[in-house]
Formats: sequence, C-alpha cells, structure tokens
Amino acid sequence: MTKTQEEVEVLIVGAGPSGAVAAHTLASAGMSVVCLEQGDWMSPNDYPGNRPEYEMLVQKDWNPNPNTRGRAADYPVNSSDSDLTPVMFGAVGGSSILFGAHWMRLKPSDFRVKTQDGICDDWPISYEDLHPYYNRIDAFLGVSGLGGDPAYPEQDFEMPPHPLGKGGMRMAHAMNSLGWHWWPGTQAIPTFKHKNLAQCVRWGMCESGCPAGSKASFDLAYWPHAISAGAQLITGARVREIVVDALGHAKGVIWIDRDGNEHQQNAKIVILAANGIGTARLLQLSKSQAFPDGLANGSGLVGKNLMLHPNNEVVGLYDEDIEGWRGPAGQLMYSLQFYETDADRGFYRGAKMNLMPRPGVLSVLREFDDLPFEQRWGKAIHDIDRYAGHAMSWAANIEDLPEESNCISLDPDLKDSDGIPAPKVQYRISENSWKAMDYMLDRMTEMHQAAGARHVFRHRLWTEQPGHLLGTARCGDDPTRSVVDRWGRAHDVPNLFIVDGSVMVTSGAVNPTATIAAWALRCAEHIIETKRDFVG
Amino acid sequence: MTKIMLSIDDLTKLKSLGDILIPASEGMAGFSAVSDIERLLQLATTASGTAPQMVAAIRDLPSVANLAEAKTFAQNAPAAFAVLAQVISGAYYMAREVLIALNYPLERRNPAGVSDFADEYMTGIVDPVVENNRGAA
Repeated sequence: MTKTQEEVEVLIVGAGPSGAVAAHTLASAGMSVVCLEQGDWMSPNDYPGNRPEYEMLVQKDWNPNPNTRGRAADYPVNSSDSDLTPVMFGAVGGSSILFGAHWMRLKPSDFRVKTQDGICDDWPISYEDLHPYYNRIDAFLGVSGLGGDPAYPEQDFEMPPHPLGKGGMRMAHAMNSLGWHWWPGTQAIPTFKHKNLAQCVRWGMCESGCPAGSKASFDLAYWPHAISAGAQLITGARVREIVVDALGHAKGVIWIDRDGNEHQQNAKIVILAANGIGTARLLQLSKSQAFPDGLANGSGLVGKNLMLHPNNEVVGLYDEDIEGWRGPAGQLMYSLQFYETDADRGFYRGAKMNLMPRPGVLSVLREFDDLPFEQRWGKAIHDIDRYAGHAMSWAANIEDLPEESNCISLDPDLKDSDGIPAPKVQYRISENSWKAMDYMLDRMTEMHQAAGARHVFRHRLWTEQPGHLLGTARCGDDPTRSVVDRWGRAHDVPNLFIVDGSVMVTSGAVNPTATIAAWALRCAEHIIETKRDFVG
Repeated sequence: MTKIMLSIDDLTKLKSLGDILIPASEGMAGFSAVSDIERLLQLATTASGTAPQMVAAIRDLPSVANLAEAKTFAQNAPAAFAVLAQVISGAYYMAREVLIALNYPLERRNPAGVSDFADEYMTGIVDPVVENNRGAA
C-alpha cells in the first residue's frame, strides 16, 4: 500500500551537487523543500584513503564503477553496448564524493559552438549569463585558484591555489619551454579551513573520498547549510516514477524506502537532479496516457545526445624526487592550449588537460605490467618500485560532441535492488573524438619529455570514464529540439525542472560540476522569482 | 567486504611465492622478512574484494621453487596468478618499512604553508603564460 506524504512546495530528486544547490537556495527563500536520495550519508571515516590498504580497497568496494562496487544504494548500468563505462556514486553528495574536485568553468566559446564552428547547437544562454552564478558558487565553496588566466574572462578566487610542489614546478618549466598554456589548478578544495571544511592536508586521496573532510563534496559543502535553512533530506529513497495530474502537470513521485515500502510524495514543483543517466531513466520510467513516450519527451530527445567525455592519459616516471605522493589529486595544473577548434588539426574542438600526482605504489607498478615476466618480478621489481613517488599523470578530457545515437534507454532485463529497470547505455566514441584523443596523447607525451621523464606510458583510452554524464535532456528555446528551456523548465510539463548535467547542449572539454552547480543556482533563483505561478 | 581468514598453510604458500616475486635487494627487505607480513596479507586479502577467487587460487597454487617456475604458473593460470600477485604486492607495499625505504612519508598530513604558493609564484613561473597571453581564444 502506498503511503502518501504531505504535499510540499518543492520536491527534488537526487542529493548530488545540483540537488544540494537547489535545496539550499529554495529553502533559504522560505520554500518547503523535500529531497529524496537513494543513497545514504557518507562519513570521511569510511573512506579508504586513510588506511594502509587503500589501493586494494579502491579495486572493489570503493571502485568508481557502480557495477564493480555492487552497493544496493547504486543502480546497475548495462554498458555492454558502450565504448565507455559511466561511473557515479549513490549517496548524499552524489558523485562529488569521488570527484577530483577539478573546478573548471566552461569557456565562452562552449556556449556558441554552432556560431563559432558551424557544428552542433548553441546554448540558449551565454557565458555571461552564467558568470555571476559561477562566482557565487565559487565563493560559497571556497574554491582555490589563481585569477588572471588569459584563457578565461576575468575571474578571481578567495583561496590561493595549492602549491605546485616539486613535480608541478618541474612541469611548469617544461610547459614554459614549449610555449604552451598552463595554469595552477583550480579546485573545489579550499587551501585553508573554510566554513565546515577542514584544511587540505594533501593526502592525494581525493578520488576515493577525502578522509580529511577538506574536499568540497556537496554532502559537506552544501547539505549542512541546506538542512539548516529548512530543507528536508530523506535518504534511502529510490524514486520509481513521476506521477502527473489530469492537466499533465507533475503531481509528485512514487518512491521506495529501504524496507521496500512505497510512498507518494506530492509537490507543487518537481526538480530532477539525478545526473545525465538517472534523470533520463526516470523520465523514461514515467510513462502515462498523456506521456506514452516518457515524461517531457515531446521532442523525442530524452535520453539522447549522451556525452561522456572520453579521457586518455600519459604517465611520466622521473628519476628525480618529485614527491608524487603529495596531493591534492586534484589537479596540480591544467592546460587549455589545445581547447579550441584549429582546422589544421583535423578535428573539431579540443581538450582540457590536467596534471595529477600518482600517490599509490601499486598504481605505479601496474604501468610495468607489460614487461616480460623476468623484468617485472624477482629482483627486477626493485628496479621499478623505485619509481613509486616519482610519477605524474597528464590526462586529457576530450570534448564530446552530441550525437543522438549515443543514448540511454531502459534495459529490458537488468533491474536495480528495488526491481526497477536499470539504464542501458549505447555509446560509441566518434571519429572526431578519436582524432582528438590521439592528438592529445602525442602532446601529453611531449610535455613529459620536455620535463625529462625517464619512462612514459601512453593510455589511449580510459574505459571507465570520469563521471561526466551530460546532454540527455538538453536545454534550448525550440521545444522540438530540446527538452527544457533556458531556465531548466520542461517544455511539456510546466512545473518540472531539470538542474543536472542532462541539460548541457554541448559538453565543453572541462569538468562539468562547476557549470552544473551554477546552472542549478540560476534555475532555483528563477523558480523563486516565478513561484507565484506554481504555489500561488 | 567479505573477511576471510587465511590459514597457516595459506600464509606459508603466499610467503613462499612472495619471496620469489619480491626478494630482498639492496635496502629493500625480502617479502617474508617484512615484519607483520602475515597480518598485512590478511588485510590485503580482505581489502581486495576477491575472497572467493583468492581461496581458489591459493588452493590451486602449486609448489613454486624459483622465478622460472613462477613464470610457468603465471602462464598456465594467469587469472589465479593475477589475484595472488595483487595481494602479495598489496601486502608488501603497505608495510611501513617498505614505504620508508621508498622515501614515502609516513606522516601523510602535509598541509600547505601559508606562503608556499606565493613563494612559487614569486619565482616568476607564471609570467610567461601571462606575458604571451597563452590560451586566449
């Protein structure tokens, strides 16, 4: 039997970065807010980084791939027809629990790729529209960075960047010798204590959860403030369906608790913040007589244009002591030298590249797995283990262009722990992306060589992508070519909003969370400005 | 996480293989000479999340006397070897004495000093980027 909860003004699905920002903003404006999150609260004490066996733990229980982890709080993803395996994390804070906190804004050109390069579509908004929201999110989180990067319009940060350290300084000199752009890393990791975030102690374990409580994962950086403002967060709540009324407005959602009991939470406004896979999945699950192809899918684009940002990597090992164990990781620096389209390169758009330390011993040894047995084991192992702590990694985040054939659908067989159909991902890396990847691989190799690396290991593709789940409910002014409008409001369902990475028209080549958070803030403030349309 | 308790026989087999894969070298202890290695093997086994595969791999591990025989085992049973080698490496390279030998800091809290970045900045390291307007669209 379904238990119906008291109606609230705003219901948010998903407690990751975008859900957290929306909840805080709307609750601070006095609106009644309930957020449903399928996962639970995490504790910095749970994370593997402060344990000696952490490199073993990240292979299974703390693996970024939900299929490998197998936690009930995550849903499985069928990626058998995909070149990449999407990664995510079901918890309060969402995938920011495991993100590297590279905090990058899109560039102005990213919002007008059609105008500039004649491909894809322009966004319905510009960089300038989002600029003030970027600034406010940065200040709230205590983002660390250095203003003055010539690759961007003016931006500034309250916290100084983290030191480059021995490895970063070595690479900075190399980049200067090449004459290429680089800049100290901008990160959602405050350099010094900020609000309830502790000072970063540079453990280098950012991507398996920060054990020091320093990284601005949104469970720490936003949710305590949202709850203080009056937002109600319900964990262990897996949403099965969005229900609609006779007028075709969102009425609320049906969700399942940890014990399998079904609930209905009604609201005047429903906001989806469940990431580029979860949101599309939920819209597709919400079929009705009024919406036989899934909710808000009049354009037929729900689930389509999935963009995942293929990544590749070149690892350099150095004879000199570069303190490769020192964090954050986090990015020591980034380069936007090859970000924009250059016709001479033979592909559209480009990549952001970031330099990261390689703290673990085992991760360095694995680079030598292709050696003949006698050079990998026995006495020879001590010829290679000396490179532990001597490794740095350049990774390229490739701009992924939208293609309708890259999509999310409901898997006919695979189900989550509540029996709800799991998403199936169909995704192929385009020829354009492969060209970009191979080009960047060569450039990253040159960077390491310029810095004097003794060994260089080239990884053409990370099959487990970095958790950037984008594009499956794109925004736009034309209801036939987009799912939501410039304020995140569904064209077909006037009280349904989407605030996560689904809305991105193009992916850019930077880590998307800064843009997602800024978009969520902008949408939430628009809801406040127009709330009389919904709540009287 | 499934915790499994390795038996004395299991530990003996693993230490024997570990001594072949990771022998002593100048400044580096041999595998079974690492203090507390049995506890670390237990820790690594549990943390690896490969308990069922690990149990089977140890059970099927033949007597291996030298590196050539270890190579033959790895060629004949690559999946089992991978599981065992991962746990052996994991146990060895989490040992304090090994990390010290590799110049890893045991005190892993290294907060930045107030002027650390400023000192780097004052070397002029960023100046060429700004002066040449690198990265500007």
